[in-house]
Amino acid sequence: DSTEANSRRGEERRRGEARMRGGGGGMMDDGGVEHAQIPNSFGHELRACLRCRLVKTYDQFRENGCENCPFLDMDKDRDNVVSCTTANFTGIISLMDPNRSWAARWLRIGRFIPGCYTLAVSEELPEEYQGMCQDNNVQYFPPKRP
Amino acid sequence: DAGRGSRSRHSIPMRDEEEDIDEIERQVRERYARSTHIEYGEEAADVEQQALLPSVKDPKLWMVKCAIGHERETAICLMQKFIDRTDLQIKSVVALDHLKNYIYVEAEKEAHVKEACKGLRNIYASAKITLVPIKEMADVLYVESKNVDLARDTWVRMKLGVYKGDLAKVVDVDNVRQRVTVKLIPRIDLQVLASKLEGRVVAKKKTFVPPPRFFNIDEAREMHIRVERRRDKDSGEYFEMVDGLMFKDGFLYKPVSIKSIHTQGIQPSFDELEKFKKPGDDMNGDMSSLNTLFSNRKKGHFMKGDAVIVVKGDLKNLEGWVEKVEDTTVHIRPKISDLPKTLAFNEKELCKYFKPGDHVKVVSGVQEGTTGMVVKVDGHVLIILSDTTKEHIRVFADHVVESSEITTGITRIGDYELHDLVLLDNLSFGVIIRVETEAFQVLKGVPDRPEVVLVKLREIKSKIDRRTSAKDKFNNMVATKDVVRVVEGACKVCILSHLLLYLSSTLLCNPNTVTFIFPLLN
Repeated sequence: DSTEANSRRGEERRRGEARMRGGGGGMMDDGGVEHAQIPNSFGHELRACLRCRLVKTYDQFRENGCENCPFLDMDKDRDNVVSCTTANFTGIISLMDPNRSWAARWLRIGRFIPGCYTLAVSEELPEEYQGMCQDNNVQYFPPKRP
Repeated sequence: DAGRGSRSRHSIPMRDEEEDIDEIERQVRERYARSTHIEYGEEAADVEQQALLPSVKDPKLWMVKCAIGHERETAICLMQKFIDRTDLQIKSVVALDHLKNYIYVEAEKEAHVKEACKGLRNIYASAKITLVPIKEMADVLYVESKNVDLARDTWVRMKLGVYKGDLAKVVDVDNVRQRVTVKLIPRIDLQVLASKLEGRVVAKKKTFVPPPRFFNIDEAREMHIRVERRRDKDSGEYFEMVDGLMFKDGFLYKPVSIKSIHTQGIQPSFDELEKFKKPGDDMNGDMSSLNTLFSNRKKGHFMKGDAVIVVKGDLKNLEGWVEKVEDTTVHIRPKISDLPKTLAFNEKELCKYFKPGDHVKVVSGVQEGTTGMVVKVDGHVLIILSDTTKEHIRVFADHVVESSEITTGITRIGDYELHDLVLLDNLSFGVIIRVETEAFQVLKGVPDRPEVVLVKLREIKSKIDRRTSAKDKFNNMVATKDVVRVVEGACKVCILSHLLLYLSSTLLCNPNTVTFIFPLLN
């Protein structure tokens, strides 16, 4: 049973990877829509970007950075990945159509590219990086505290 | 020079004035534009959120049943499918951590949902698709922010396993790996452990949970269990290792995942805390742990007029009286006159304050209903002399209010009263010497070996009511209610409450509230 699931996931991974060879930030499919990399595994490697809440694996962030927050330079320095992403997040939302989706609007991710996001992260973006957001004229909403 | 200086101070040259005005205007605009923006960001966040509520023009949310445990996988698969064939018309898919067996799909029409789910391994072809009412849509995306106050010395309770429900204290936190090390009173069955280590297969008695007991190295060694002394690389402290378990000072130090412990609303009972505090423990250390304990407890009722003391924050140790209570804020009138008339505190920062000599009543906890006088204040714990039993009882200051009420205590439950002679289930008998909230304390046994047993109401079969008489040392007739003097033994003058014509002619006395069994000296 699990081997079947693995093989299916393997298929999808291969398919996903084939597309990823397109390279760059947002993935462009032939005649398709620009989108972020899809996480290719489910375990503890999954991490969420603290600014835009995009979910990918550690390796994917390290190699391709965050498609919504390129200025965080995650692909340049692994420290950026460690500081700007967290494994502590709740829930997953696969966002296909950010422009029309109500859920995306509610979660304030309506301006990001299609991809897998999380509903909430538990930590705040560290101060230095918040400064970088301001410098790049980019909005940052810290997680709600009760 | 001076002239020019004064001129520049008092007046600005015409030309410069204009430029300056423009400059000033620009600065003012900038300054105030920025500040309104900031204000907006903080306060209007909630209002903005309200504006984002779903309308009839928005796509709808559909709840779809999927394979249990594969909710995230399904959401990600659907994302992949969307990328592969962009004719998928769904807008988003949500997989919630706490909702098993279901995912939410956002789409304009149910047909879109059906089409998207076709061919997916984790969604059965016949899967139910339910529309979520528009009013409930925002609730679907609600995430409860878990206020995890995990710090050293916090009290937690175990969720699973042998130690389920047991109180534990956090000694180390690893946020990265979401694990903590907790300190527990071990529940080890040394026999089973010894057999296991020797390679003997033991039939696992699943229902048997060993009672909590401090770990004793010598006991373990007696059973031929190998105890190693190892130094933990992270903390640098020495532990005794047995079968992969770490012990120190008799406690078990166990690394567990954060998910397997309850962190909120932990209210350790007095007994649990006493057990944790091993004799010889540092009182100071204990006080600080008690303090964290109190900041997490649900505080008792503060009422107007209560004397309180501040226990947390900069105003620690300030005494005062409660003026007003509002939800979780308590306003107090401080004792020191130099301070403002009332100060507001969070109820977690205050603790009720009593002095020896105060007369109080216990309003919650095991001792509920008892009244008495405070004889000693020991941090958060009061020692009270009970009016009824004249015993010293220890209670938390939170559980007590000042009161001039004096209860005589409960003297009867059901048919049975204090000092009744009763027949217990197993054909033994005794005298009720104390009535507690749910049970009786019964004095049984024989002379020289009195035994006090805690007995529930249903364990009492009946009352024994006998009118008998016996003889005393000097061959006088003795009957109930006579005043007698005990010639041998600790007591002096007592009132006979019962005579038991048992083999040894036991005589039960009752001086004040204490009951003894004495042999009848014939």
